[in-house]
Amino acid sequence: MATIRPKVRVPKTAAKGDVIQIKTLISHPMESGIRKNKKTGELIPRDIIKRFEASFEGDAFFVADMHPAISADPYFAFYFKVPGAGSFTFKWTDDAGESWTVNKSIAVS
Amino acid sequence: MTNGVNMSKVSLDEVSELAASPDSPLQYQTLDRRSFLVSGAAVASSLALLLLGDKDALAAKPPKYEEAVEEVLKGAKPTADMITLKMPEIAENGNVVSVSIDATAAEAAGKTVKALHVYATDNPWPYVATFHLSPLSGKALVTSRMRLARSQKVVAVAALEGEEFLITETFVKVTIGGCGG
Repeated sequence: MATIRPKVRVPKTAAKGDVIQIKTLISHPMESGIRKNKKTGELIPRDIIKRFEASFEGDAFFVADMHPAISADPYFAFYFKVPGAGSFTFKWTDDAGESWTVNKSIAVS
Repeated sequence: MTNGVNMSKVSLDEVSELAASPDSPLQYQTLDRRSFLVSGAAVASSLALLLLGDKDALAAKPPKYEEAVEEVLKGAKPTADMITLKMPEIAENGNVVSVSIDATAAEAAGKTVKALHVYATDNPWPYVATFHLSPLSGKALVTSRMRLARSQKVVAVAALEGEEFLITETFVKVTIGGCGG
């Protein structure tokens, strides 16, 4: 499988109380488990990212539970109200329990 | 499906009865070809069920959309207000359909949005995703991309604090279906 690369876009600075947009993207096939191998007719086993968690200073503020109906390379755009400077953790977990993490921080101007 | 399960139960009982009485060879002799085949098939199908016994995997029968949404509503009546679902009217590629769930109107009315649920009413599995929000979420607006197997209605449900629910739906025409069915 190709290497899985998560990407996150967060503004570097914001004012306290601002509502900012966060965009995340991870390259992943999101194999639905109902597709068949056209040559052999066998089902391709399901392999999806089940859960995405965005946390700020350890508190999860946006959690997505995904099903196979989420497109390959799951993309999310969501919002966050900045309570002050701090660090974000973004974590994706797949069916097999493997996970990928990105850390970001924001400064308050 | 239910017939199949019942049948396999009955036949399995027969099989175990037979196995439990090895000292009555007559019973084996009376087992005609037809019932032998039936019990064989039953054993095979229950083995297959055991092997695939993941609750979210293929062995389980996909619930209908109505059943899936009821898991969240639990009998509550949702209001068709203060939530919008933004999707294209015509999706050329069902594999990647942008979807935007917006419950900011509910927040403007002083409500707290706890979660946003999305369902595809005519996909092989009706579930799409659940987005859990918190007071730090800022606003209840989430954008993502989903798969649609064919033209169908997509439904979004917002769960508010105090067991209140908002619902909206939109019809998307799909030119090439997704999910690779």
